[in-house]
Amino acid sequence: MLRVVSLAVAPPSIPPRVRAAIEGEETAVRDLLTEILPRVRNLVRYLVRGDEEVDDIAQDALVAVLEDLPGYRGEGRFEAWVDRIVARLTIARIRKRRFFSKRDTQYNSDLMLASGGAAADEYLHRREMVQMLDDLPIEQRHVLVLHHALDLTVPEMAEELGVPLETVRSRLRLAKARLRTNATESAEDGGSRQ
Amino acid sequence: MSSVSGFRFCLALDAQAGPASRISRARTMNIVSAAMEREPTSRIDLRRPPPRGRPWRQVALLAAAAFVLPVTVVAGAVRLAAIRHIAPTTLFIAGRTPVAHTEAKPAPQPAPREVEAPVAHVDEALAPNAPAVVDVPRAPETPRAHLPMPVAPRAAAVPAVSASPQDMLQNANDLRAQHQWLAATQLYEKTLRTFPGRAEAYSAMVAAGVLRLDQLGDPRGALALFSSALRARPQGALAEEARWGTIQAFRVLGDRPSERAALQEFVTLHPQSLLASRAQTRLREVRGESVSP
Repeated sequence: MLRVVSLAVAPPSIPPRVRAAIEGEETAVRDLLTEILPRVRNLVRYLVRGDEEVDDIAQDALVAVLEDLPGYRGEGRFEAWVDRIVARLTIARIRKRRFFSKRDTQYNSDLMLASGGAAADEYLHRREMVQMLDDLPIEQRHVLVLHHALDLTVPEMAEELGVPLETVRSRLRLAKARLRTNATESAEDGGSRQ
Repeated sequence: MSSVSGFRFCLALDAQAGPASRISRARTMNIVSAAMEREPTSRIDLRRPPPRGRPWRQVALLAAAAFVLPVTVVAGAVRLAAIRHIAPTTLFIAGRTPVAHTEAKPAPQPAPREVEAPVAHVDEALAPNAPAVVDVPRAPETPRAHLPMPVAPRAAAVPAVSASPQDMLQNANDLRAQHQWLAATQLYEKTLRTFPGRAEAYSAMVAAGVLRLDQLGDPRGALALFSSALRARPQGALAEEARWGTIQAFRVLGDRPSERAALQEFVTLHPQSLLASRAQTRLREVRGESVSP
């Protein structure tokens, strides 16, 4: 009897701030969206080329999160739940637009700055990293982000992207190889300039 | 954090800055507000139960449509013919495409007045020759001929006169995302003209300045907008952006003394900025240029 009790699964708990938002308290909703927006923007930026569309997609992602919020049951971290929605929406948007999105990649000139946040060198490092991703084919980029940023497994990625397992593995392998090559060439270019 | 063998590779995902470019607090609030305003309709749609199958209702609707449609078409043809007879150009600008009705008789009464109202609105929203906003000079390379025609998506993007400042700002953002730089700039400027003193007007001022500088090749117009923003809120949330834009505008204009003064002001007022080091570097360059013969 005692063993049965010990094996009982604790009911999932929803963080109070999320619960308040689910119940429709406007302030709670606003606070929650403001809290998750930086992470949402970061994930979107990992997935899309350039800075230009980040805020538009992030805004759509917030809407999608709000739509799905009543369905959140507290199973797993709230941030991870949000990440999956954001990734799904972003990839869908990219697929939808790719036929007419062959324009040049555009970067914000870091004009929009705000005080606080991570240290400048960490920020710059992340910006450099994502610009390396911008050189990858979009399919390879997506598996790399899903795997390394969202910690999805190969089967999970295959399900998320709707492609065979082998395709995911292949894309992951090619993406890593290409990144490594680009990083080596970049380092050599930097060394030769000095 | 993960790693790819051979070099340092990590895709840190958190709420800290990066890899997305930093944005101001005001812009964050705009995005959140826009998402919240769009959300209720979507949620209602999600909760709406799927329609139940009622074949008899479909038959009734089809029958009604079969009767109403021809009547509507005939009435519309007569009405269009009457309108074309009076003001065909006006009708086209209003976004209603006239169709050929060679057999329709012109109506004896004058054109209905409601046709004229939306024309005035669309013209006001799209006309580049509208009254100047915060003494912004018009871009020379923005003649009316370059304006896209008011097709359906554009017409939807132009807000009604009663649109809220948030709506107008959002519409302008949408236009910018579609690379409709001129229309976006005009809508930003209309926002600040319609709602002077509002936070949205302040954001619109800086956003319009950035577009004029980066996309429309109008550094003087951008300069006027940035100056207005700084006059309105010298310590505002976007003051840093406005000052940096001012520097860039002076640089494009080749006005070295003003650029130097703006750089000096920037490094004094925003010493913690990530752009401070770039401003310092540029300041040294400008000083060197002015000293050297």
